[in-house]
Order: sequence, then structure tokens, then C-alpha cells
Amino acid sequence: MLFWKKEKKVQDALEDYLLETESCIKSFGEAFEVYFTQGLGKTFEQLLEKTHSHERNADDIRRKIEADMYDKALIPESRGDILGMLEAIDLVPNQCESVLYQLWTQNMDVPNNFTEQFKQLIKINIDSHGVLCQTMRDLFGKVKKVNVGANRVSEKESQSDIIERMLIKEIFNSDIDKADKILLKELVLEIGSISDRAENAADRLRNIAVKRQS
Amino acid sequence: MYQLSGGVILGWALGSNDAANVFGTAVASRMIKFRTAVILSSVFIILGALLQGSEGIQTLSGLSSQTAQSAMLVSLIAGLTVLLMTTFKLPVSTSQAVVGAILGMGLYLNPEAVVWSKLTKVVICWVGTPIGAAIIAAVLYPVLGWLFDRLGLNLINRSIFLKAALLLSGAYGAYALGANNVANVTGVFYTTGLLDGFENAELILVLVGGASIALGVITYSRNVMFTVGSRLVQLGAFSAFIAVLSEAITVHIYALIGVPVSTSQAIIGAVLGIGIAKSVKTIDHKILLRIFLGWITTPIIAGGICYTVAAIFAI
Repeated sequence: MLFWKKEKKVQDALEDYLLETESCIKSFGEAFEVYFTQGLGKTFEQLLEKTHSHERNADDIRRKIEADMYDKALIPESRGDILGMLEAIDLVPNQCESVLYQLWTQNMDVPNNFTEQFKQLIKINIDSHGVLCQTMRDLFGKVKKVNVGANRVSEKESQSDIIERMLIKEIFNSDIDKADKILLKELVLEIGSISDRAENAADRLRNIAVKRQS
Repeated sequence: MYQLSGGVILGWALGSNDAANVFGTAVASRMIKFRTAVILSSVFIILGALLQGSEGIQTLSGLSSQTAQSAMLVSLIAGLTVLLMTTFKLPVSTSQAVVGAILGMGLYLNPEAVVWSKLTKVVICWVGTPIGAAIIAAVLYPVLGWLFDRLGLNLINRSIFLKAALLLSGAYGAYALGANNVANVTGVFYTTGLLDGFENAELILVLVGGASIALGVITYSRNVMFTVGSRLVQLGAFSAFIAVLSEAITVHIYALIGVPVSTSQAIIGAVLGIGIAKSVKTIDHKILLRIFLGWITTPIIAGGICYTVAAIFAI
């Protein structure tokens, strides 16, 4: 067996992992679209299950990559970097799944007057993950682009912060029940946490890239 | 011919210890399989011994006059010294033990036949081994590091590149080990007349020597490889590659000069050189002091034991 075959195997598995997390985030976005049009019905539950399934598949691939790396693939310092990177990225699909379960288990009701801002918030957080995935691909290709990608993820996170603050303010200015206000605020923060985690993961990618550049 | 068994035992001990200096990093960090390292080491050690091992044999055989019987004793006592000093955790080099034993026996058999000028050359090379490796590593580290950075490799390709570099430097290190250290194993037998009936006496000696070292690698090198390798891995893959390459170049140069030297001392020198290049402390001063003491104590102990044993048994 060629001695670089294991490295290529890890690289292919990393791409599979990214595709799986992208599918997970896509299902997450679709679940929210369904929620805003049809509520927490059967279709939402199917998409929730689909999101969970992609998240689980991503976890399985991550574990396989970990095992492969300790089976004589990659130099030791790269193993640590990749493991740390995967753990950081993995928090993003985990959070998406958690938000959907929060919505479903608490039978949440987002009033119509907040729908557009919620959609905006969700979009910006989904985008942050998209940029994160591209940045990770750059780490295995055009390393010099990693810094640009990480900066873009940070921008998305800042935009998400602005929307979160405005939305929470509007929620507390509205005349809905106080308990609902708190639940909605929690939902806003949990959705915003997706881009927070994407930013943390992007920072890791940036550090890995910097370490390998003179 | 049974006298050669002394050399075979010494070669076996040498192989089981010194292969760690060339393939330890790659094996301990699980970059290559132990089996692959053993196969590559064995092949390249034998190749090195066959192609460039004769210079060292000429040097060691020229240090003093020996008989087949005394040569066997020299090898066994050198091996015993290495074992003793290792047990007491004292710094030791097979090359220095062999030279000490040859001198001890030479002084007992015929003090006038000891060629002191050759010994001076040998001692200068011992001192020059860690120093030379340190200089080579201090130069290679920034130069190859600059070139490596210019390649702009991504995470995966960087890994593949360094893995290949460790494999190639390991193979070169094994070649240098065979070329340099085969003289320790069978060099002392060259002028004993043991192989007088054979047309290719020197070829037989390098083959037996190389094969004995390879046998040590195959049968008993796993633990040392993991211990030594784990220490080097902490430096990082690139530094480990520079350390192994510098050690290989140094040991190879001394193979061409014809003086067997210590691969362990070469690798310590190389790690020190990397520390100088990186402006960090990689080697404790105590280790350097222990090497210095080893230059004196190892040959004295081996020579003393050899002289005493020869005197007791009136060889």
C-alpha cells in the first residue's frame, strides 16, 4: 500500500464529513421554513429527524477519522490539529439540532410580526456555517485563503449579534406574555450561538493555517 | 570460525539499540509500521556495510595486532561493557567500548604493536561526532525549513511530505549506520588470519557484521525504538527529520573517513544543533557532560576488563 494512501483516505473522509454537516444545516433551514409556514407538524418532525440523522452520520465519520489518524495516518502534530478542528466544527450541527429540539419540545410559537427577523437571523447563521465549510476546504487546498474565510465567518457572527440584539429588544417591547418573551429570547440566543460556534471553529482553522505559514 | 560469534553477539546488541536512532521517530509516532522500519533498516544496514564498510574495518584492525581468540574476547568484552554500563544507566557507545577493548587486549598482547597515531584520529572523530552533527543540524534546520515553507503545502500534503522525508532519512541513516558501525562488529577479526583461506575475507566480514546488526534490529529493537522515538517526536516531525538527517550525514562522513562513531551521540548533537537554530534549549547540560565522561570512562572500563580477563586466562 502506498504510504500516502492513509492521508488521502483521511482527506476524503473530511470531505464526507463536511458534506454531511452541510446536509444537516440544510435540513435545519428547511425545518424552519416549514415551521414558519406549517408549524410543528409532521413535515417539521421529518425534517427534525433528517437533521438529527445527518448530525449522527457526521459524528460517525468524525469518529472514523479519529481512528484512522491513530492508525499511522498523518504526522502527530497534524493529528492534534485535525482532531481539535473537527471537535470545534462539530459543535455547529449539534447546535442546529438542539435549536430544532428546543422549538419542538417547548411547542414554541413565534409571533408573525417577528417571523422576518427570525428568518434573517437563521439565514445569517446558516451562511456562517457555509463559509466555515469553505474555509476548512481551503485549509486542505489554498491555505492562504483561510484567513480571509475566517474573517468572513467573524463578519457573519457580528451581523448575527446585531440582529439578535434588535430582535430581543423588539420582543421585550412587544405586549406578549412575559414567559413567552423569555422563551423567545432563549430561542434567539440559541440560534445566534450557531455563528458563535462557527466563529470559534474558524479561529481554530486560522491558527492551524498560521502555524504552517512562515 | 566460531570466534566470529563474539562479533555476531556484539552486532546483535548494536542493531537492537542503534536502529532506534534512525527509525525511532517514524515508528513511535505511528507514521510507519515497525515491520516496515525493520525491513528498511536491515536492507540499508547491510547495503551500507557492503558498499562502504571497509574503511572502518581497516582502521580498527590497524589499531593493534590480534589473534582470532583475542578478537573474540574483545568483541564479547565490548558487548559486556555496553551491557554493564547500560544496566547502571551510564553513557555508553559501542564504538568506544570496542576501541577500549581492542587497546586493552593490544596492550596485554603486544604493547609495542598499538598504533597510537590511529587512536588519536579515532578520538578526534568521537569528539567531532556530536559537534559535527550539531553544526550540520544548525545549518540544515533554517535552510531546509525555509525551502519547506516556500512549498506552501496544505495539512495533508505536509504530512505526506514529512512522512516521506522521515522514511528516506531513516533509510539513509540505516545505510550510514551499516557503513560506519560494521567495523565495530567484525573489524577486529580482519588481521587475525581467521579468514586466511577465503578469497574475499573482507567481504565475508562486512556481510557477517551487517547481517548481525540487522539481526539485532529484527529481533530486539522494538522497545528501544519506541523509547528513543517518543523523545524525538516531541520535537515535531520536521525537527525529527532534521535530527535524523544530520545524524545520518555525520555518521556517513565518519564512515568515509573510516572511524566508527556513536549514532546516539550524533543524534544528541543534532538535537542540540536544532535547539541552537531555534534558540531554545533542547539538550540538558548534564547530558553533554555525560557524553564527555563517556568518551573517557567507556574505553577505560572496556580496556581494563579486557586486559584483566586476558591476564587471568593468559591468552
